[in-house]
Amino acid sequence: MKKTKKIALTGVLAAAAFAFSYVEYLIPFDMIGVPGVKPGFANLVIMAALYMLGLPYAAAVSAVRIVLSFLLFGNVTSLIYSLAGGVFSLAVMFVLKKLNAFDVTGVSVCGAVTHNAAQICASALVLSSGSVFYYLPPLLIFAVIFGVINGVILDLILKRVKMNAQGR
Amino acid sequence: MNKTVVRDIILVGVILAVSLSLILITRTNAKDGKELVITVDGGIYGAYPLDKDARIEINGAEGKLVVMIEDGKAYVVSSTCAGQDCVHSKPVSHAGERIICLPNRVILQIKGDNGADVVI
Repeated sequence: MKKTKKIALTGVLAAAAFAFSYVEYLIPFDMIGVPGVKPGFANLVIMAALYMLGLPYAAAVSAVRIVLSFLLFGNVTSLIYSLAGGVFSLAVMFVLKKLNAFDVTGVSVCGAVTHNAAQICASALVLSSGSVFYYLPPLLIFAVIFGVINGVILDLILKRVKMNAQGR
Repeated sequence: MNKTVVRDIILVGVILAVSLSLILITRTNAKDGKELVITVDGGIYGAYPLDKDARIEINGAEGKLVVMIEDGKAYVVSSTCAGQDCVHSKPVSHAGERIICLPNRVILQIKGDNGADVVI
């Protein structure tokens, strides 16, 4: 893929990641009874960037999403949580993909789990209390569920994109 | 089946098993609580007996939080925070259960009659 095409695709993916963040911000998941549960569709887009373009492009998509969310509907505290989740989950997904330790779905699950764990650690630091770890086990169950869903979707997307590229 | 796919399945199984057992351990043998301990910004704000109905106003990091104790259960009536996760949390009454308002840095935790609470 040409570099200009990669940059253009990064822009499209950044817009998609931000749009998903905004949709998730609008839909409350309170009825589940565990605070902080989100399907993490933005991570699906960041993973797509990681698999199709590579780490620097995925990091760019993630950074644009975090900065835009912060400017439009966040505050300093929410920025700390976004950064903690975004940085650590991308790092873990990159390493696991590099090692070829898991398939796309496994990498997606690990990304979701890391995102939750990093945000709980960040909130423990903000609160200077370990009480928040009480929420980690139920959060991890939802992380696994949505991680699998996102992984399966991404697997289908990557196969289609590959076919498309070969057909040309 | 592909080797990485097998690892994926094991990974999902292990995380689910560990999380579910942690939830079961902390919640199944939870005794009835005796008091509600409120922490604000890392410091103890106060302890309130659960058998006495009360309305408690707390000055959190961002604004005011109103907590009610009713029929041995504690819950958040209102909060000035943006997320409102604390207001939507279910009432707590068993030892170890808690409600946390992250923006206000307020922790409501139920304690039993001795130090035998399961704490994670």
